[in-house]
Formats: sequence, C-alpha cells, structure tokens
Amino acid sequence: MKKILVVDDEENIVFALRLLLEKSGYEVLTASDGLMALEVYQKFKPDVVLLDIMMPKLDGFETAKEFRKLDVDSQLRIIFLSAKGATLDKMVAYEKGGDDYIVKPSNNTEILEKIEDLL
Amino acid sequence: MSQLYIILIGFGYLLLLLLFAFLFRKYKTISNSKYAYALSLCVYCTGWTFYGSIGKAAESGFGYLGVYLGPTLAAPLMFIVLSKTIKISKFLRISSLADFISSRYGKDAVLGKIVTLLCVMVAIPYISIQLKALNISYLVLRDYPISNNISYHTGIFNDPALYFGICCALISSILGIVKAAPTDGHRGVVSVIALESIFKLLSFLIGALTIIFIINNGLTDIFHKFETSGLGKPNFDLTLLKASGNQWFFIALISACAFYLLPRQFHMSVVENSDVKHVRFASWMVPLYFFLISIFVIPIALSGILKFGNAVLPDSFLLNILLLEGFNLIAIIVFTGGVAACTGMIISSLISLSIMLSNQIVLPLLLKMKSTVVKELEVQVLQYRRLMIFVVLLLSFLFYKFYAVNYSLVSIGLISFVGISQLMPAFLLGLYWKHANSTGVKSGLIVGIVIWAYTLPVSNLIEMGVLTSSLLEDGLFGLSFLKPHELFGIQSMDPISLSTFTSLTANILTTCIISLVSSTKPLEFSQADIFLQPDKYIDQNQSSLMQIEADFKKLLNILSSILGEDKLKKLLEKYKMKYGIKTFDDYADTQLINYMQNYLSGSLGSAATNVLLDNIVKLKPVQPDQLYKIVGQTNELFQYAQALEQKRDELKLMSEQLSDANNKLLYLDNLKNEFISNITHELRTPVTSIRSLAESLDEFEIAPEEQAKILSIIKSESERMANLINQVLDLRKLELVDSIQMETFSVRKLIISVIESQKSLLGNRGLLLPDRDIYLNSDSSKLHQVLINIISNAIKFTDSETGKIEIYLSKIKEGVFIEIKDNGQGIPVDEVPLVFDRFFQASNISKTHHKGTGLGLSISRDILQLLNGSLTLESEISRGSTFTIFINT
Repeated sequence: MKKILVVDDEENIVFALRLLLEKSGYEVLTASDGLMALEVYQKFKPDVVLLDIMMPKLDGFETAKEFRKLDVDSQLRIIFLSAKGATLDKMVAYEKGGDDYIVKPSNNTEILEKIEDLL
Repeated sequence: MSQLYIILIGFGYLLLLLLFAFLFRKYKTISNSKYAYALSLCVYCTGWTFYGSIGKAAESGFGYLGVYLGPTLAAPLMFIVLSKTIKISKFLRISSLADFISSRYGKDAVLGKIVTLLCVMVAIPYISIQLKALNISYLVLRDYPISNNISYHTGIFNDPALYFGICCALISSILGIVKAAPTDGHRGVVSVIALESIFKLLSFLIGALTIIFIINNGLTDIFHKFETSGLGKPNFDLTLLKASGNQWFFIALISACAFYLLPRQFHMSVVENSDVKHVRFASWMVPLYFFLISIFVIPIALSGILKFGNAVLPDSFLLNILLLEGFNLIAIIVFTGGVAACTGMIISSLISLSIMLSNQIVLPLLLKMKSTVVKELEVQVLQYRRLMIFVVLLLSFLFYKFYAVNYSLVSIGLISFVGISQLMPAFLLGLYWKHANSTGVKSGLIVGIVIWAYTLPVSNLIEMGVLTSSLLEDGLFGLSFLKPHELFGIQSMDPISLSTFTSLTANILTTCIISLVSSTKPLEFSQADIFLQPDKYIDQNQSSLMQIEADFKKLLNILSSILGEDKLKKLLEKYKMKYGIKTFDDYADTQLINYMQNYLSGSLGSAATNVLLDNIVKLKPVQPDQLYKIVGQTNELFQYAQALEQKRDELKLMSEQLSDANNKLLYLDNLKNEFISNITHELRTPVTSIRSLAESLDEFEIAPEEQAKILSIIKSESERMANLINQVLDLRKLELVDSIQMETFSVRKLIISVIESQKSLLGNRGLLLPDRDIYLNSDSSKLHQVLINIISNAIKFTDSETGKIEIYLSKIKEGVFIEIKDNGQGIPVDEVPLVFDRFFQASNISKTHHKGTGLGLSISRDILQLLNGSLTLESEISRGSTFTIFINT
C-alpha cells in the first residue's frame, strides 16, 4: 500500500484529505507543520507528500528543499497544495522541487488523479 | 592805475587769505561754526553775481533776481533734503556728488563717470566766466577810462586771469588736498570760502552804498533822475514780468537745483559740513545773504545807465562809476571783493572737480590698467588730485580764451545751471523713491544731457559761428520740430526755459519709466534702502544689508598696499577699540569689511573701492535666520528675497507632499494587495475542507459517527467563512456609521463570554481574568467584537505553552479601562502607530505564520470611536503588547 503524507496546519483540511485518501486505498500519514513532516518522512518514508505552502515553523517551500536533501534516491513525489493560485507561485513551487501543484479549493478527483499520475 | 599796483593788491589779498586760512586751521571752533558753514554756502554768489547781476539788471530789469529767488524759495526744503544728504554722506563717507549718486545706485561706476563728466562740462564754462570777470575788472581798473569796444583779447601770458587762476589752483592744492578723505575735513577750505564770502559782501555793499549815498543822494534820487532822464531802456514795470513768467519760474527752478548740485555747492554744503545742525542756521542765513547782495543791484544799474549809457560794458558799471567819480580806494576794495567772489568759486570748484575726476575716472582707470594694487594708493590719490586741479584750470582757461570772451557772464552761467539741473531727478528720486535704479537714472541722465546739449551749448556754438550748420533754421535732419529753439514745436518759450522744460521733463519721464521696467540689482536695493532710510542704518552702525566675507589675509594684503602698514595697524587698532574685538578670525566678517570699505570710500570713492575689493569680497549665502532678521527690518529687497524663498519652500513642500502622497499610495496599494491575497487565502482554506468533505460524503460509504464529525467540520468552516465575510462587510458598515444599541451590562461577564468562544484556541496559555466587575452602559455586541479581535490576536501571537494573557479592569471618573496584556512577540516600536491602519501586518510576523485579514484592529478602533472611546497600544519587540480600551461614560 502506497504511503501518502499530508502536511497542513489546517486541522480540518488534514481531516478531509485523510478521509479521501484512506477511502481511496492509501495509507495516510499526517503532519501539521514542516518540521513535523520531516520527522514523519524519516520514520515512514512516504511515497507522496501533499504539501501546504503557508505553514508555521517551516513553510512548504523550505520543507520541500529539505525533503529533496533527505530523499537521496529520488523516490519521493511532492505535490504542493496551496491557496496561492498565482502563476508565479506555481513556478516557484516547481523550482523548489515540487512535482505537481494543486490550487485550493481542489476537488477530490483532481487530487486522486495527480497522485496516480505520479505513482 | 598802474598795472603793478593792481596786481600787487590782487595777489596780496590772496596771500593774506592763505595766511588767514592757516591761522584758522588752529581755531577749529571758528571754522567748524555754523557761521563759517552758512557763509561757505554763499560761494554760490560768484563773480557772476558781483558783476553780472548789474549787467543783467541794466539789460532786463528784475530778470537777475530769479537766480536768488530759486534757492531762497527752496530754503525750507534745504533743511529736509540737505540734512538727509549730509547724514547719508557722513555715514558712507561720500567724497563728492558723483560718489553720492553712484553709491545710491549700487555703486555704479559708469553712472559715477557720467555724473563727473557732466559736472566737468558744466563747471568749465562756469570757471571760465570767473576768469573772464577777473580779467574785465583788472582791465577796467588799469585802463580807465575805457570805451565799450575795448578788446578783452589779451595775450595768454599778459592775462592776469591766468595768474589768478594759478594762484587759485595752488591754494586749492594746499588747502583742499591735505587728506585723502575729503570728509576728514579741510577746515582751511571752509574758513577761506567763508572769509571770501564776508569780504565780497562787504566790499559790494561799500561800493554800492558809496554810489547810492555819496555819489547820488540816496535811492529816491537815482530813481527820480532815471525817470526824468527819458532813458527807458531797462523796463522795471512789474506787469511785464507776467509775460515772461515762465522764464522766472524756470530760472528759479534751475537755480534751486544749482544751489544743491553744482559740484562746489555739494562739496561745501555736504562734504565739508562739520555738523548737520548747522543746516538749520544756514537755511535762513543764506537767503539773507542773497537779499543783501542783490538789493542794491537795480540802483547801481540805473546809475550806470545814467552815467554811461552804452559807453561801457554794463557788467563793469560798479567799478566804472566809482572810478569816474574818483573813488579810487573804494574801487580797489570793490575790485578785491570781485577777486574774492571769483577766486572763491574757482577754488571750491577745483577742489570738488579734482576729487570727482580722480576718484571716478582716474583711479578706476588706473586700477583697471594695472592688475596689481597700486602701492600707497592713498598717497598717490593726492598727487592725482593735484594734477586734476591744474588740468581743470587749464581747460577752463582755454575755454575762456577761445569762447567765453564773447559772451556775457549771465548767459553762460544759466547754460551751466540747466546742465547741472539734469542731476536733480537722479538726486531727489534717489533720496525718496525706492524704485529708482541705475539703468533708469543713466537713461534719464543721457536723454536729459543730450537735449540740454542740443538746445543750449550746441546751438550756441552755431550762433557764435564756431560750428556751421543750418540746424537752427531747419532743425535736426531737416525736421522742423527738432529746431533747437523750437523743440517739439514749442515756440512760446525762450531758449533757457525751453531747454529746461524739455530736458528735465524727458529726463524725469525716462528715469521713472526705465526704472520701473528694468531690473534692479541686489546691491542697488540695499544701497537704496540706506539712502531712503539712513537713520535706521546710522543707529545700528551697519552700512549694508548684504552679508559679506573675505579672506582676512588677502584683505590685509590689499589694505596694507593701499594704506601702508603703519596706517593699517592704526586703523585695525581703532576698529578693535570701536567694536571691542580682541582677535580676528581667518575670515573677515561683514562688519570689518564694511568698516574698511567705508574708510577707503572716503578717500578713493565707492566705485574705486568696489573695484579694489571686488576680487576678495564675496557675498555670503544668506542663512534663513539672517534672512528673517533682515526681513524683520522691513526691507524691500528682502521681502523680495523672502517671497522667492517662500516660493521655493512652497515648491519643496508641494513636492514633499506629492512624494508623501505617492508613498502613501504605494503603501496602501501594497496593503490592498496583501489584503486581497490574505482574504483569498482565508476564503480558500475553509472552502477546501468543505468541498473535499462534501465530495467524500457523496462518493464514499461513511460510518454515521464519522458523518457527524464531517458535518460539524463543514458547519464550523462555513461559520468561519461567514465571519470573514462579515468582517469585510463591517468595514463598509462602519463607514456608514452604524446604529448603536446601548444597554447596561457587566464588563467581566462580557470578557468571560469572549474567552469562552476562543477556548479551543487557548491551548496551555496562562490566563488572568479581572477580579472585579464594572457595569457599563454601551453597545455590548460591538464591544464583544472588539474584545474578540484583540484577544484572538493575543492568542495568535503568544506561544501556546508559555504564553500568558492578562486582562485588567479599572474605572476612573471619566470612564472605564480594559487592559489586555500578553507576553507575545510584540511589534517594533516604530510600527505601533501603524497597527491600526487597515490591512496592516507587522513586519516581524514570519511569512509562514498565520496572518489575519489585517482588518481586526482597524475595525476595533473604528468601533471604539463610535462608542466614544479609544484604543491604544503599547508594545515592544519580544516584550509583548498591551492594548488599552477606554470607554467614556
């Protein structure tokens, strides 16, 4: 079973995504900020990270950079999930090591399709 | 009478005069007295008066009186105008009329030269008629009895006038050129001229009284004899004077001008004046003198006509009658009086002209030719002045020999008077009209001089046949309205009146118009102010409004080469004493430079001084405070400068305001962008969970307990969105002034209910609630909103473990305080005032941190204002923040 890590400081969003992904047959890990996400990654080595950008402690971009350092064999897929919808934000996201980008509010199908594409 | 005898008497008299002068020098009380001053002004009465008046009276009756009437009528004015002129001249150490006028108009060197040249042009013919008078009186005495057609053309070296002239020049250079600065006083000159005035009056009266009471039997006798003689030549019918009324007016006018402005008059009345107070005495003493010297002119003229008819020159009646009747001793006395009248004029004219020529023309020329400063300039100046005395004398003598011999004394004198009157506009406007400027005065002068020269001296030369031209008949360029004696088609006036009228009118109009339309230099403004209000400056002992400075060493260098080291040392000591200064700075200040400028101007004139110091003296940039000080002295120049300054400040202010507004706009634009981005984020976040959960509910089989949880999340997230939307809308509402619902409520309870609503966010933060309660009459729901904003902020910006929030309540007479204190991160002090701006986000909130909408505090403050209260913040970075709500009761 593929492992997916959901990182967001919004408790309710984490809940909603966990529900969706579990029902779709993934194993779901969660974290409420960037630092916590790095810890979880090292422990469980998820296949995909759904990463919010605006978060306390370590923001999404910084977290992604750290993931790329830790992910030596380039197995990890990173999908940014953000309320920031500007083209510039998307470009920065790819630069920082994102594999895909989803703008909030997203629909469930879009999220699942993007994850499947990357796996 | 023997030639030797006459000459001995004449020169003996001059020698005696010189002796007296040296004697009087020791007795300053005499030469500095008001009597000496008033008498020295009577140098106005020259050989022209002494002999010429009688000649004029013999020709045209009362016509000669105008020349005395003018100054007499102007005597009351004398007190005002002359006093002011003397004050200014003493203060600025003015050395001559040219210096006075040039100094008034911004120390304009060109103007000084024009005035000097005009003065020379006017004075040379005038001196030449004195020489002529000397010669006539000598010839009458020597050759009596003589006929009318005696030739006055004697050889140059046979002419006693030459030797009298040389004597005058010597006396002038001995007495008049003692010190470089004329204002330092040549009391010898004053006493000599005063003595001559006494002597000419006494001798004239002796001669006149002898003729009237000894030769004839009193005045009635003369008039009776004349009436019965049938000789009707001079018409003394006063009704006839009405016809020539304008001539009387114009002669009186130009005589009044001449009394003040002839170079020798200005020199005696202003430069040689020892005390301004003497003017009051002189203003009635001088007219009295004029009265005495002119009262017996008519009887003598009548007596002369009775005795000689046309047989002798009327100018010489006085001497001829006395000689005819055998009163040789009296004739000698009268002759000596004539010498006194002529030499007095010549001496004073030579002195005043030499000062003008050397200071206005020779010195500036010399300074221009030699780039370095001339050594011991002050000593050299004296040499140049002596040279100029002889140059002027020589020119006058030549003029007399080749031109004046053919003319009567009066006609040449009047031509000079019209010429010198051209200076009156420059002089009077300079004293009383602040707008008169150098360009205007120069233009006016030139126009006036050209018209004068064209209508009088030039046409005279033509009439005499010196120039050949059809100008008189045809007019200039063949234009009949340019005929010299019918200028502008005016045919009803005699040449003197016409010339006076046209030249002065054109002069005044040109001066005024050009002054108003041309620009004025700052120096002119500041000089004008001194001349208009001298008392102000004299009181403050400050001769300039301009702030100037100069390198001290360079200044001393120049000064020492002009004055010599010894003199400079003395002068510096004097300066130190006067102002109580001990040492000098590297830079000479305005006071020192003014002092030195004044000193030099006294001897070299302001124009030359300006040339000398121009290179090292610089205008200091005006400091604002000085400017205000100066403006405080109500000066036109600096009102103007201030206006400019104001305009500049206004522009500066406007550009600052624009730049401020621009920055504010940029700031607001940034805030707006951030606000929109925040609002978007805040809206998208709840929608994300709501949408996802709703879709999941739709797609998947979900257990009922899980369904309940999902629904509660959807509900709270919807509420969150609704809140945000309300907050945004609140902004608009507040702007429209919402209605207020007043009620009395417990503030403590209100605080507790707010805390309850935020409980889920509190975490482990410490909380201190007020232990007292206060009841307040206000809008509780609005206050609730404010408290939520502030307390949720306090929660947001404190650590969930170590954070501490304290709330205090207090009451004073005026109202209620609610303090909300946290130990959070605080905000930078300089951002405190900005906190209440809409959309503001503190700079130290990390980018990743949850941002609010940036509306909470702004809305809170607006609400409190609506509730007649206030919201303040005290904060310091990492020290936490304290919000204080105050509500008026």
